[in-house]
Amino acid sequence: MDFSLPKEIEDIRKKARDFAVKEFTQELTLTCDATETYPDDIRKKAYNAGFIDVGNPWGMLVSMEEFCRVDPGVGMSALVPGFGSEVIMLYGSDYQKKKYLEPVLKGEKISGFAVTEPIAGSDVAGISTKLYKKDGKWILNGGKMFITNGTIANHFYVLARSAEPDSPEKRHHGLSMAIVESEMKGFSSTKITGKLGMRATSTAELKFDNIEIPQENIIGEEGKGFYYVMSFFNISRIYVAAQALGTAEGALDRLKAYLAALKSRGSPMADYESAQFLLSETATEIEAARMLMYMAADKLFKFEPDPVITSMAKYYSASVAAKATRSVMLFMGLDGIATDMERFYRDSKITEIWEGTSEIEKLVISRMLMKK
Amino acid sequence: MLTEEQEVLRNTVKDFCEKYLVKSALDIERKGISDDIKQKLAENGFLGAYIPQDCGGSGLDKKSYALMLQEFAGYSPSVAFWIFLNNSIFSELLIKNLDKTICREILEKVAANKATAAVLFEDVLKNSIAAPQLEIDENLSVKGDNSALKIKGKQDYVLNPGADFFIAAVKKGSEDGILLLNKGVSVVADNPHLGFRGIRFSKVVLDSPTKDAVFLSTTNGLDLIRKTYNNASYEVAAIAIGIAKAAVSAAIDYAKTRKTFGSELISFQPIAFSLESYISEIDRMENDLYNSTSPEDIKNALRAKLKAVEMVLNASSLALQVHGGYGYIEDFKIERFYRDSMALAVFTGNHFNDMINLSKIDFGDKSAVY
Ligand SMILES: Cc1cc2nc3c(=O)[nH]c(=O)nc-3n(C[C@H](O)[C@H](O)[C@H](O)COP(=O)(O)OP(=O)(O)OC[C@H]3O[C@@H](n4cnc5c(N)ncnc54)[C@H](O)[C@@H]3O)c2cc1C
Repeated sequence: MDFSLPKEIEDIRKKARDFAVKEFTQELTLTCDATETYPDDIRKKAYNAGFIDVGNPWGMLVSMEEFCRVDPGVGMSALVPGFGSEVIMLYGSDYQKKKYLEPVLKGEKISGFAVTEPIAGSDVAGISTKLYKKDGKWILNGGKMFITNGTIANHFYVLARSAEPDSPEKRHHGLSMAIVESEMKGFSSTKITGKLGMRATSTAELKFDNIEIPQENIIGEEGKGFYYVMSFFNISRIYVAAQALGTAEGALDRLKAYLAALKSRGSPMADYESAQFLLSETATEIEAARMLMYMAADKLFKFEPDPVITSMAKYYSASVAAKATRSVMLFMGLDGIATDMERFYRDSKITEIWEGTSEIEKLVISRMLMKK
Repeated sequence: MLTEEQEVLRNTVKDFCEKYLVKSALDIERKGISDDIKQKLAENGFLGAYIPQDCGGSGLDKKSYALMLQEFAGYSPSVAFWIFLNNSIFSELLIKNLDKTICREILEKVAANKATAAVLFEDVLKNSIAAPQLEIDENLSVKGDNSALKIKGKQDYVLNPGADFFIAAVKKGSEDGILLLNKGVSVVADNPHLGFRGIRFSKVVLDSPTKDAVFLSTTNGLDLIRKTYNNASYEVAAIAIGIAKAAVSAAIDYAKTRKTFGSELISFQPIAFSLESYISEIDRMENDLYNSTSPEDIKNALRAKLKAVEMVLNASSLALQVHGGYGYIEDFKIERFYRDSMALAVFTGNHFNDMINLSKIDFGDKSAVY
């Protein structure tokens, strides 16, 4: 059993850390958060520096960790422009790979992955967007909610209902995925503002009004959309675990720096046992989360994904991030409130919600365990 | 548990909030508490609720005042905190340390919204500050009438920097005192704003030729302000309970209507159980708080505050979680409750210092030293 990552991955980690420390300046991160602006320059720089490389998942994973450790909002924004690409890599046609995936991998275009609707998030099969044939053409009607890259993506991988299920128990049947371009007639998106955190990322509500979808934009087999989404979640959840881990590590970094500053101020607080315990407990939980996440990633990247471990990693890392940011914020008190620690506190919460809430992860874990 | 009068007060506050705050709660966060709302708070006697009647306030007793804050907190934590800062901190410091005539003059204005007040709390709430950072310019010493007194320096954490009156701890030789200032405070920059966004939060510089400055105390300044914060623990507990109650009740309403997998959220045990456990915890805390025969007792108040603040951090997080993605955006008030819970913890003291204080009260001076 080897608990270390290969040298080339550790090299990417170091490079990612250096990049984030240099590029995610205080001014940039503050502005993106305050004005809810997507840092497109950072995306381009991150691409040019080779960090957005879906073909090198370990590299992406450690980059996600290191980027979010410096700033979760800008870090996520930098690495998410190819959101959903794995669906095309796994199930897309050659045409789709060439037309949609390639420009994304070249850093020329941005993609989004659109499942959630106003009426259904956790309940993926409960969506109501319709994809149906009329006069031999596919027509898309409906809308999506909380879609990342919603105002900046060139195209979206959209889940829609293409056939009514035979029975309520089979609701996950009859769902299909289609590629929708933001330039298509009938597409519109409205930016969602006033988010608690991750304010550098673009989030939007999408509307589809009688959009004509060419047959070649249907992904994989008709009716298999639910499974494609689930297999995508098995991948993306690991990246969210990395995001959460990075956020928690960022909180730990800030706690350590703060304790050192207190010490140099001559404060006895730095040596309080309660401070030492806070540090030790947070660091221990981070290491435990790391083990779970790397185990999940190792299995996935060897093409043997284990949804149980993946969901455990996502759920556990998210809870570690939420707890770490809260305890450090409380400990720093006024000393933290005007620093980026308050942003880490706000940014951490999303990891318990997106790509499957913590409750949904627990349901996945128990159901899969009972099947084993 | 509550007297008839207190029930009437609670309903009056509720009616006021329904009428004036429900629609403007989001605006308050985006643009600040409007003068119109402050004026209405003043006209209804809420702005000076805890200020004694002979100083122009409503002279509520501590329990009734806390109850009022709790109700406000459920609608707009910013408004509750604005009233809290004016009454529990500013007015208390003045009343306990200043000549009644001057007190009356100032507090009448504050209660009537003719002037606003701020307390520069940085040195009191920041970790490990032994002496005030603001120093009286020694070259211009105090000459009886204070006409040549000058105070210079900066403060990084100021709520309501546009106030007409400021209370600040200052270093004067080897002593630390408290000054009341009314000029020479200017904003350098605004801070990131985790919570209570209805109240401006800024970095300021002071350069006050404080002809009119008045000493509230020439010794033990930091301790006096700290004590005032400790004495306000009871009210902090009430605000925390108010936020938690509103957050959990919004989550229950949401869980009863939002459907996933064909059923209302409330039908899923983990959701029903966790909401239920908060209802009973909040109920118990509320009972304890308002059944207390001695709201002035620091030990009980500090305990109530610590428990209530911890509870509201958890309760608002749960409420946000129950709302899923919708909890994450400002249109649903939960996002605000989540941020304001932490702001409440940070702007009313330090968790660890409170724990140390409480340990010392309970276990003696040798406890909680290392
Ligand atoms: C900033 C942001 C970005 C996002 N980006 C995207 C994106 O790019 N693409 C996309 O498709 N979606 C995106 N989402 C949506 C996100 O994935 C959903 O919000 C999430 O899946 C939860 O769905 P919901 O909001 O509808 O909550 P609901 O499904 O309504 O759930 C509400 C609450 O009930 C709980 N719950 C639901 N069912 C059960 C049950 N059976 N047992 C116990 N508890 C239950 C949930 O865990 C949650 O706590 C984004 C959301 C946000 C906030």
